Amino acid sequence: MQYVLQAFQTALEPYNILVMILATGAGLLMGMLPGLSATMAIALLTGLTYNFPTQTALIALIGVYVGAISGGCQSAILINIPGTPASAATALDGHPIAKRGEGGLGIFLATTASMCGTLISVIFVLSFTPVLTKFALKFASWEFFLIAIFGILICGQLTSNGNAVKGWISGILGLIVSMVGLDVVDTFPRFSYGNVNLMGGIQLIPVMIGLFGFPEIVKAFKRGNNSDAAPMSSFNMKKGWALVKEHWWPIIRSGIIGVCVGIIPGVGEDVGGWLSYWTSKNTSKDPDSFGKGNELGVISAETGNNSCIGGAIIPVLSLAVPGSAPAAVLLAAFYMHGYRPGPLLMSETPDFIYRVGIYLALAAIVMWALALVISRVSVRILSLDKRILMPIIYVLCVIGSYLINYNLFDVKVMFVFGLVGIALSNFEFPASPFLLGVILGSMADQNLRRGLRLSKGSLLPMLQRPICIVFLVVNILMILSQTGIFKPLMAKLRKTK
Amino acid sequence: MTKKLKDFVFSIVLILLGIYVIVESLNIYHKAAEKPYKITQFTISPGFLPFLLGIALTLTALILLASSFRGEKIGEALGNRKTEFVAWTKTAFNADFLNMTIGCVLMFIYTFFLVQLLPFWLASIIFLVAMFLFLRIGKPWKAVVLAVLVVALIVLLFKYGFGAAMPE
Repeated sequence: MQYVLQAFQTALEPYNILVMILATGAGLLMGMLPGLSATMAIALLTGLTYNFPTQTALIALIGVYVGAISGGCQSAILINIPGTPASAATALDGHPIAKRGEGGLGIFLATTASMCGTLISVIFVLSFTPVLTKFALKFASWEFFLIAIFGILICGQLTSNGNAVKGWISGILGLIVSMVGLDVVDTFPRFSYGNVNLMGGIQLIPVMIGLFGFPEIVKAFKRGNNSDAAPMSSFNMKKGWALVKEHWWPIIRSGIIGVCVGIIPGVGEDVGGWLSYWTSKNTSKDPDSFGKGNELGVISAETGNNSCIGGAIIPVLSLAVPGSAPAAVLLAAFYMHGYRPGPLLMSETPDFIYRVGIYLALAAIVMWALALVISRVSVRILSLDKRILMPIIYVLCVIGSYLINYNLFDVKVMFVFGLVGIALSNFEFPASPFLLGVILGSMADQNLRRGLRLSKGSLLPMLQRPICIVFLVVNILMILSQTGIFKPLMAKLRKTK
Repeated sequence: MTKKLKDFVFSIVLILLGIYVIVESLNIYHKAAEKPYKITQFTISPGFLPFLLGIALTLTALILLASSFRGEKIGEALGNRKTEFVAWTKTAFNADFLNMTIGCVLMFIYTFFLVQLLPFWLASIIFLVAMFLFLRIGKPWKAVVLAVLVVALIVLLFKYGFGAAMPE
């Protein structure tokens, strides 16, 4: 309780309130504009918050995260183009609602559902994280190595559009990139070629800005890339609140689904939105109305994607394993500001979890109010010329990369990984496992080699620990599932049913 | 580019990369076995995980390569990929491709030369004016005024607002 009060006290300082409003507003704008993702928004802001006091930086980062995930719904509803992938499911019913002249109601429902989703996830963050952190204290080197591999495998499988091999390749490439520089155990320079900058390792933020921001900037150079927005109408709050009240159960259900999806390493808010939408459609008495402007579609998708925020933060805090790409950036930002998420978090900085929870809840409320205000000018914002916007965004990408270490080498790294991002996108490889590989590579290497050192080079102890065996079996099953080995078994099961 | 051609081309690149990583990780192992590190056991050498990753990359790339041949004999598949490649080269280099390439070149010049050699504000104004002119946002004076205003705002915000040192 003491920590919760402290968190409120910090968040309600005038300077921090101002920062939260500005950051959440910036996040909303970034999320609203197609091509500027939540990951990019946090990545950019991470560099910019370098000189901020720690708590102010945390408030800014969480505000921009909540804002960016929620902002995507406005473009999804008004122009049928999701501002972020997280709002893709929202467009299905949101845009038909706007087309029938109820754009204001659609945005009100989406924004309110987003707030509810985030608030539901806060409950899980505050209740689950301490439990998971305690459980994670049982983890030793082998478990951490296997959880890193599990993260890459599951992220690769779920983000690769049906071809898990591509997702895994992307993850392996990320792991290889993380090997560059002095190794953490013996300080031996790997893949550095005598270059001092490379010996310091590849920094996460420039890689992320490059992977996620650069391709979107380059795509904007195509001709005829702007879209027309549907007209905005009044919010019709009375009807909106009545609908939210009527659909209280799908909101809670979508919130829980989103949290569960968020907890899975590397699987992002877009999956949370889709899965919640799909569940509501399948349990509805009138599934045919979905895709034609059913309000429940918007509510489910937005609750689902926003509750992923808290879900994705749970493994960040307890295991230092990010639940989604934006959460990965948040993890890097936590490190940058002196926090060490992981099993020791509760003993080293017990107030941190409560601070994150409270900042998330306040950001959700600020987002709700701001989103409704901003939606009055959304149509104008969405008509911004990308030919003007994108070069400016690139200048911001350059500053964002530079400010991490005040090193111009990182700016070059950002450009190189921008080209890698374009290649991955063009050859239909997901970028999220790549990023997760870069993040988890050091953890995997450090723990594998520490384990091997203690066992004098033997892999046998891995097979003697129960948690390791569970992870090993799950990892092997995941790989085998791609070989089609379970197809006859599944066919038999279906026949018996 | 067809999906099969994409998988074929990328898997070849990945196989080469995988082999390079394997060779380099063995080099790391040999170098780490010398003074001052003297790590002679392979499994605890700094080259061990890169070696495993190189193997994993090569294997998964081979699976991808095999999937790009699915339903075809090898000779027939190679012929098909060649035909697809020739067809792709005829349509790939369109106006959009040219625009994106020029945009990338301008960003490359800004990143690798202008920002490295000139003060940030000057480099950014030159870059933005060049980009705005290339993207035809309007008359040249409009591009210059917009670029100057944007850079002034960015410098004010970061240098004086956030207290961050800009590249000099």
